Amino acid sequence: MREILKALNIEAGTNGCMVITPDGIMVAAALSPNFEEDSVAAFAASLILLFKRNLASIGVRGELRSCSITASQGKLVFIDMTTSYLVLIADPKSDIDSTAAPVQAAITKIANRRIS
Amino acid sequence: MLPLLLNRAMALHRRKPSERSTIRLSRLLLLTGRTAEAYATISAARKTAPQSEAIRLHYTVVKTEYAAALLSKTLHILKKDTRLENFLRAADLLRTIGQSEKAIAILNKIQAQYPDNWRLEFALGQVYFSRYRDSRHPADLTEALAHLRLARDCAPRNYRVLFLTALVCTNAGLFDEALANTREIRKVLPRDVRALALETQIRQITAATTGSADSTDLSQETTTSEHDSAESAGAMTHSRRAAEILLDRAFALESTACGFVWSTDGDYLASRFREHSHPCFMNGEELLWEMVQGSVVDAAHIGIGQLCSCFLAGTEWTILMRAVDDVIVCIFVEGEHSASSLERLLLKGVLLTAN
Repeated sequence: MREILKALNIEAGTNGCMVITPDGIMVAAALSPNFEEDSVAAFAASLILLFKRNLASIGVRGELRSCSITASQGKLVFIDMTTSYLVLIADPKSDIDSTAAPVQAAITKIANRRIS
Repeated sequence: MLPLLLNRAMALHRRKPSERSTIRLSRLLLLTGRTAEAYATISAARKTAPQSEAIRLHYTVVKTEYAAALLSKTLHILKKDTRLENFLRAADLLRTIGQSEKAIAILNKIQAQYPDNWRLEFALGQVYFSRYRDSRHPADLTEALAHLRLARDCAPRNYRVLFLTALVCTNAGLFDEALANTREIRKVLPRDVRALALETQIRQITAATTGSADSTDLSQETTTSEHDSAESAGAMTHSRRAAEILLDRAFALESTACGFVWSTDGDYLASRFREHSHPCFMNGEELLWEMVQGSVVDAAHIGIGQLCSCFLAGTEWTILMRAVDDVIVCIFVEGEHSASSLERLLLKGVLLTAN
């Protein structure tokens, strides 16, 4: 899976990406050394959980499919892959999102890998 | 053995969810260290079966375990990153797991560094009030009220501050002050269910103790409230004007269902709702602000800097939270939209500072 993530970094121009479980455990990662894998996984998962819990409390129907956080020094994208999340880290001005072709291709490869 | 039991519990719960299957699944998730999932499972069940005593009890256990797991991560972070957000988060988690003494100690330790900070005073008010609910010691109620009054002075329009102050005042028997706070809430959220419910409760208590009809008093309060509203409208600040401009822009799109605007300190500034929209956002201010705060804190923790925007795409909706000048706006739009199209909508034309 790490090879798929490494290829995604090259194709999508991201600085790093990882696959995490909903409870924040890192499955595979290809992050640049300035990011701590466990820390990114834990915070990403707790943020997704916070969003889901609060939206459910408000009564918002439907699932959260993706989330994109743009900050002064970077961009973070989470994409729901049903049983896990794909997390991407990119430059703040990057236009990467869940619909980008390399991202969709990577999601398909990860899903196929899981099935096989 | 545990993974096998967990898989079976998951399959059973998926096939035929019940009170028993939910509790069993969340217990096994806890045992296998999957506290976040255990919490999500039991929280969902609590919403669908609020009357179930077994689920309520188990929810308390799981919530404590989950808070303890998050606390250990937060305390680890605090060793390296001593920003206020981390202290507040640690204190909140300590309060959740019932360690009020430690929460108070943490907050007191940093009080001198952050004078007149509403978030710190609010957190202290929360912890003392939580301890009062357990111990019923009047000194805790007095302390809670003192801190909440300071928080209210610093953030006079913050929903959470106003509501908790009203609640603490009610517990202290200070009904006039409690009503003054609920009135402030209803100036901006006239149909706020929690404020209205608290007012009804106060009315019932005062009617039971005085035996007099209090409808006259309440009607006088409404008149005062209208007068205050007129005054505050006249003194609308720059931030509030910016908030209204942002909401005008957001509601130019027909599918915008709701919008909230806060100052960067979390002071409520304005909101707008499309009539008959689903879901009902009237009571969602606190939850949406919590999401904004979570994004701000976690963006900094992950190491990508200061939050500019957060875009959520759902199956039937889109949410954009965006920092604009000195305010933060959150809009909920029905249907699918791109982040760039919503940002263009909010940021089009003249700069807010020019208005």
